[in-house]
This record gives sequence, C-alpha cells and structure tokens, in this order.
Amino acid sequence: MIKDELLKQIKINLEKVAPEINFEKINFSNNFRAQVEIDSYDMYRFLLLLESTTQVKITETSLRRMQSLEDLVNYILDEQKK
Amino acid sequence: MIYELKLPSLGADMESARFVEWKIKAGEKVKKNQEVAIIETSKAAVSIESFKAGTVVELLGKPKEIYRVGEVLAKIEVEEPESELLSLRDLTARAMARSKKEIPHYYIKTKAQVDNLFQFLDQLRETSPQGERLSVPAALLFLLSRVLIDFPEFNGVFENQKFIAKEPVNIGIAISLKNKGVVVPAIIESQKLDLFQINEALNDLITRARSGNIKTTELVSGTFTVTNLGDLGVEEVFGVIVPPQVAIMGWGAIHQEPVVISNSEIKAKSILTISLSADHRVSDGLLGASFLKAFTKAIENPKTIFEARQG
Repeated sequence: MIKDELLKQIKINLEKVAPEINFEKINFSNNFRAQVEIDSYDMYRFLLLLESTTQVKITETSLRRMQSLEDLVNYILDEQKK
Repeated sequence: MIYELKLPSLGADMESARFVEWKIKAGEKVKKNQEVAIIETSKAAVSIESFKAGTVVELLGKPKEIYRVGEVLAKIEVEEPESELLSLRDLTARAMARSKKEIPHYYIKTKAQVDNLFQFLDQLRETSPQGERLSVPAALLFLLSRVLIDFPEFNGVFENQKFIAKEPVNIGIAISLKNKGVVVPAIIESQKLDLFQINEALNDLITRARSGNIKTTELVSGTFTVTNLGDLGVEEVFGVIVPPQVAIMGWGAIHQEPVVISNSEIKAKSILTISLSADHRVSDGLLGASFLKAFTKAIENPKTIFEARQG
C-alpha cells in the first residue's frame, strides 16, 4: 500500500468512528491525541478498522512509541514490507 | 417532541372516514403499535394504531365526525432516547450533589507502570486462537474485577445507615455520550467474565450507551465505579462516589515518565495514575492504600494474575 492510499484509509476509518473530527485540520507530524478529542473506545475501533484494511497488527508496545499519524503511517508501511 | 397521529389512508380510494371512538385517554401512556381508536370507512370499522410510544397530550378526533385522510386526530408526546438521557443527567447531578453532602470522601492515588501489561496484551494476542485486539481499559477492568473480590469493603452499597458488601462485582463505567452527558452503566458480574468476555462486554456497553440502548438494570446495579478521563489527556481524576456505592476509581492518561531504575539509570516508562475516592464510613486510607497496591501489583505483573485468575 502506498502512502497516499494509506492516508486515505486512515481518513475513511477515522470518519467512521469519530465523524466529529475534522481530518483536514490534523497536522500529520504533530502529536495526534493532542490535536483531537478521541476517546480510548473510538481509538480502539479506529485501530480495529485500520488493522482490517491494512492487514497489519498494530501492537500496544509499538503504539506507545508513536506520537503522530506520520509515525503510524511509517509503522504500517514498514510492517507491510516485512 | 410531539407526534401527530393522523387519519391513515387504508386504501387507494379512501378519502375520509367517520371517527367512532377512542381507546385511549388524554394523559395516558401508549405503546408503539398500540390500538388507539376505531374509525369507520365506507367498507368497514377498523382500528388504527399509534406508530410511536409516548404520552397522549390531546385527543382531537370526535365521535361521529368525518375526517379527511391526513387530518390530525391526536397529539402524543414522544419519549425520545435523548430526552431520557437528559433526565438521566439531571438525576446524576442530583445524585452527585447528595453524594458530596452525605458521604465523607477520602482520596488517595498511586502510579502504576503499564509497560508489562502492553507486552502481555501483545503476547496474548499472538498466542490466542481469536487473535483479536484487546483494549487496555478492558484489561484493566479484568484485573480490577479480580482484585475487588479480595477487597469487599469497596464493592457494595451503603443503605439504611449500614454497609452491605456485594458478591457480584458490577463495575459501573462512566461513558461519555459525546456532548449529551454521561451515563454509568455496569458490566454485570464482571468477576465471572474472562478477559475476552470483558473486552466484548465493554465494547457492547459503550455502543449501546451511545445509541440509547442501556438497560435499567445496568444503570442501577453498579457496586463500584470507574471513571477514565485519561482519554482527554487528564493525568489524574478524583471522582465523586455514585450513591449508594462506596468507592470510585479514576484512571488518568497513560503517559511517559522518567523512572529511576538504579543509581545510574533512568528510563522512560508508561505510567498510569490511579486514584481512589472512597467512603470513610466503610473503609479508611490504610485499607484504600492496600487496595491500590494490590491493583498496581496486578497491572505490573499481569501474567501471574491472568494465569491464576483467568475466568
């Protein structure tokens, strides 16, 4: 999956779980949770959808090292290469 | 919200009907699809029903009068899920005010390292046949349900001037309804559920809370409450006890903190601040500290607890 396609999937899945979030206003390089109000349940559902779309398991350990959507994108692309 | 009960069209050629009689009265509650009146068309007398549940505000249809299709026969105040939730919010506000007035709260807090729990969840996912993603709050609830069994002074109700410890661990969870208030339904008998079942029960509870499908039993049977404001970046939260319960636990945001490992080493660790607000008539700070210590130990050594107490 290429980066642009992955970002599109992230947008689609985020809109599904938290339609109140304005995706266009998110800075991909900055801390994601600091920019949006998304609770643990919506985050959980978002990750479930993203895992299903990308076929990549996002571990809790690696999730804790990620700050931004860019980190998440890089992680998924790296895992897909393995 | 007012629902207007109109004369329905009971056939392509039907233009009007004679009103015969009401089967309901003003002020009465009607159920969805309940038969509410009899009308007479050119072909037969038929009953008509209300398509919504609510309370009858006004009956406009009069016996023997002719009404055209679409004319309003009655006005019914509809019970929307949202209005039920708003009244719940009012009830919650009253309960909270009463709680602070009547219950002598004491507050304590501690910090737990959650890195081991993350690793454990990852390993469990790798090895479990389901392979499903488990949420961190579900894992914390699972551990809490087991630890609470050993601390009955925090799991129960204070009624008629005395404390009654409860055997079922019904953990109430404060769920935000996204700008529509908060509800606190409970996972019933969580002590009997394994981690996967608690994960499922929690997801189900949140989904139903947000779609207005919580059962009354779930709202009134809580024996302990958890509030998780960490989602909004708050590092610690001291909740107000939900009467008639005697304790509430707060979970803050899991964040990175430097922790001294040895004299020469400092490491970044994932930290969860756990607070406890409890009723001083039932327990004291010493017991509260033991409870928090046991819970912290469970979080930091999840493998031992999961293996010993799974299911």
